[in-house]
Amino acid sequence: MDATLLHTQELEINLGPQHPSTHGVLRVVLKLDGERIVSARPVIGYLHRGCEKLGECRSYPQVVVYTDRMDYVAAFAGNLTYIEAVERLCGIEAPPRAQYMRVVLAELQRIASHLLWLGTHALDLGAMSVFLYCFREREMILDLFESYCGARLTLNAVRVGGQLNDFPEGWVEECRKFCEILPAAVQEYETLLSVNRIWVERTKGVGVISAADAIDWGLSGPPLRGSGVDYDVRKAMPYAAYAEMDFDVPLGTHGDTYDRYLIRMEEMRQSRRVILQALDRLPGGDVRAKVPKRLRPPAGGEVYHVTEGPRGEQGVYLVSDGSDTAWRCRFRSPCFVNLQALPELAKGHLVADIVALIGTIDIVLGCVDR
Amino acid sequence: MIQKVLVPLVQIGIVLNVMLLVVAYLTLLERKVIAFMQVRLGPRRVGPHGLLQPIADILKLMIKEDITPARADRLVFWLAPCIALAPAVVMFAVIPFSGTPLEFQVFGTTLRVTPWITDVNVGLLYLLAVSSLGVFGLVLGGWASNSKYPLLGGLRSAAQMVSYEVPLGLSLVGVLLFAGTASMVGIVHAQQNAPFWFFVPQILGLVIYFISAVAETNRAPFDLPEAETELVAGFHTEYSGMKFALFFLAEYMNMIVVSGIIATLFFGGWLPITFGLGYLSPRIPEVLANPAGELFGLAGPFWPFVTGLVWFAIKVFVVLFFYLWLRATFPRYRYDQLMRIGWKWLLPLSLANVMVTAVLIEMVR
Amino acid sequence: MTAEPEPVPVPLARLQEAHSGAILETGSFAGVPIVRVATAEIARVCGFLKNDAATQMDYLSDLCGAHYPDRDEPFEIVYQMMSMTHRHRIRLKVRTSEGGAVPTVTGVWRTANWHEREAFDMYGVRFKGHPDLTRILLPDDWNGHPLRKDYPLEGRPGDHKLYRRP
Repeated sequence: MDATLLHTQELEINLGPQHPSTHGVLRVVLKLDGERIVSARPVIGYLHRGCEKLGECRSYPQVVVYTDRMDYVAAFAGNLTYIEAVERLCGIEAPPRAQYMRVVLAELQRIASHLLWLGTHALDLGAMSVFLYCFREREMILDLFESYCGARLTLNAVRVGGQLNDFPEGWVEECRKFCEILPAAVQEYETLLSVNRIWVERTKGVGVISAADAIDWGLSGPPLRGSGVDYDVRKAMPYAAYAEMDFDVPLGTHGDTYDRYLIRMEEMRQSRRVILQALDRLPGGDVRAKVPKRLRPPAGGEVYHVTEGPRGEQGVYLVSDGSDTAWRCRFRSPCFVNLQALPELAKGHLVADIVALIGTIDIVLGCVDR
Repeated sequence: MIQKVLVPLVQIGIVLNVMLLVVAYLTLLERKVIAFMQVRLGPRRVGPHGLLQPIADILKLMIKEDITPARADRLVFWLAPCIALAPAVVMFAVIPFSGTPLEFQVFGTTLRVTPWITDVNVGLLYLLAVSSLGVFGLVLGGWASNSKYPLLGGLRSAAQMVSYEVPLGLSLVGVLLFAGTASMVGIVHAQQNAPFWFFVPQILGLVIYFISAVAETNRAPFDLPEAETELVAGFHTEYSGMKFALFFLAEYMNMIVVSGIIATLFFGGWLPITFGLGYLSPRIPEVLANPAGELFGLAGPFWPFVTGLVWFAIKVFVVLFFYLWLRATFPRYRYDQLMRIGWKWLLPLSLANVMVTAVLIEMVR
Repeated sequence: MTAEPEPVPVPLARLQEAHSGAILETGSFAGVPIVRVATAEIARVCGFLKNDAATQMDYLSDLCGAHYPDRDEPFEIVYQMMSMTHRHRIRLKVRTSEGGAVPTVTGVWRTANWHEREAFDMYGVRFKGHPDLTRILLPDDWNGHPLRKDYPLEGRPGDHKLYRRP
């Protein structure tokens, strides 16, 4: 249809920063031609708090609390990445029991994060009840966290050299109880969504990205694996005790929203598998290695340590100048990089798909803006 | 004079007030039902089990600040909710709530009060015609707000409602063929002798009508015009206070009217649910239609009137429950998928329904 | 940066073969080779690393800036890249001074776009050839570049009209 003949005008509409489904303060400037998206430009920075600057002005153990608050939905992943980077910088190795504990907590956090993702993604697309069901299960995980470290959301549950505390009495049994009810819960969500014709129509074929494009855009986590690229940091560069864990990494084929949804559902099941293995094989011993009170890594040392967070590859780049504060503390956030691909994913789609796309990339604005 | 003018006015007054109360409590019922489906409790604080919640909501909406956007078209902005509400209310005029008219002796004359405000012999046509007018309210509301989100919402809702008008009307033609009359009371009378009323022979018509009605009333899974998570609030984004209350009322009023229509046309209106036991003995339907009269010997038209009302209410609430159930369960359809369903599926199916019904009726005759 | 004895990792070896002129310094820490490259050559070097069959560094994991005020060229841009097929990593660095420009690598990896915008936003380093070099995390009318070492943690009044002393 000849647009110039009909003199149609492109509508420029603003999604956010205050919007029920942008998962935080994200602003997307949409240019619409009727219902079709001509261009989608994310504008970020509304939640920028200067975490990297703080990382340069506070000592290494003090910065851990900031890592909680960047990706506040998966706080443990942020903690773990930073602490492991510091440990590599200083050449400290955490004892085996601490490594296994970290695996258990990290996988619990992954399940909690995916439950929140599923609830909000379904809510955005209109299936309100799934949100409540997911939170019912997430509450159990948050209770586990609270009994372990006292906090539900911003955990600060790792220390340089290991863990501050061992698991309290009865914690392992509670964790096992949760792992027992999880498969039924995940099955419930699948019954409500995976075979629901409306859900399938809203997510199949939406936001397709090829494997080569995904690698070029630097995607990681489920968006990358949805396109069939087998890259999971837990398998590629194992950290903590992942080298000894036996689990599968689900891969997608089409690279669309439906595949990414299935991948995250399967990841929840695989996480449960890892938790049970780690709990079975939990070694005894100390939970923390001997670490100097004032951490002073060698001058000139620099590490870039990556882990697999629920959202993708989380990285910390630390440069040490010999003092107890980092010279450069850089947080590579998966959401920041994944969000960059939003305009690419949104090409040719309708307005109603933008919420599905924002949900499928699974962004947390604290992580994007730091 | 009294019979022709005063009685209808009193009827209108009663129906209007009762319906407004029912709409208010429907909002509470929705919140409670959806809450229970979502493993939570719903409103509990305002009154026992939240029973005073609708009153609180109404009071809040009445005293809320009435904001009009700066460059909105003031007259149309004010008029749009009224235009949305008026058809919904007006449709109650032909819906029969019960079966037995009441008789009163006043000043020597006998006043006859029917449980329906009026029974025009084109009742069905009247309903279809008036329901189409509801679109204007939404479209004008979206346009008059002078804002992009309501504009998008208004456009979407216009296209959606107009598209679903066609299967809405066509799905009722089967009922028309069965009943032989377009009068609502007449249709219920025609179901008296039909086994399983009309919902079994016209099951396809019922399904198509219900789906189209969900789309017409902008309810999930077809609630794109007011999709909270996509367009903030669609066409009523800029409305607040009493004007918003009117849109809200219009939506729920439409739901009740549609449920009333389904109950009347497909489920026998005020006729008792005999659970198929009518074949055992003809006494059973009679008892169920008037237990007070048959079992306790109470005479007069009042008791069958009340019983009919109760049966009608039960059926309406069952249909409303389906509405709420849909909202709690399904995701939302995207706009193009919605259009596709209306035009590619419901329309051909409703046409097929009409043809098959007509052929079958001719064959049986 | 400490020198690494042996063996030479594949990306470093290929780089030394093909672009030895661009390499200014090499080193490693914790098992990752670190190479300092001449600033003007960075786009060419990155393109080589991406397309060469032996290295195939098709994944840019991170691109960030750093500020070392004591050096002649105080700003440093650090590139962390990886190969999806071979799974080896390398870290490249370039240095630039105030007002100097670094060639953009957006043409090599599209993901560099936002990373370079953030480096510009936080350090004021300009990238030659970048399609849209504007501030990304801070408001567009902010004054100053916060991650520089001479910028106070609490911010400076006057940098932005919405600034409030903490």
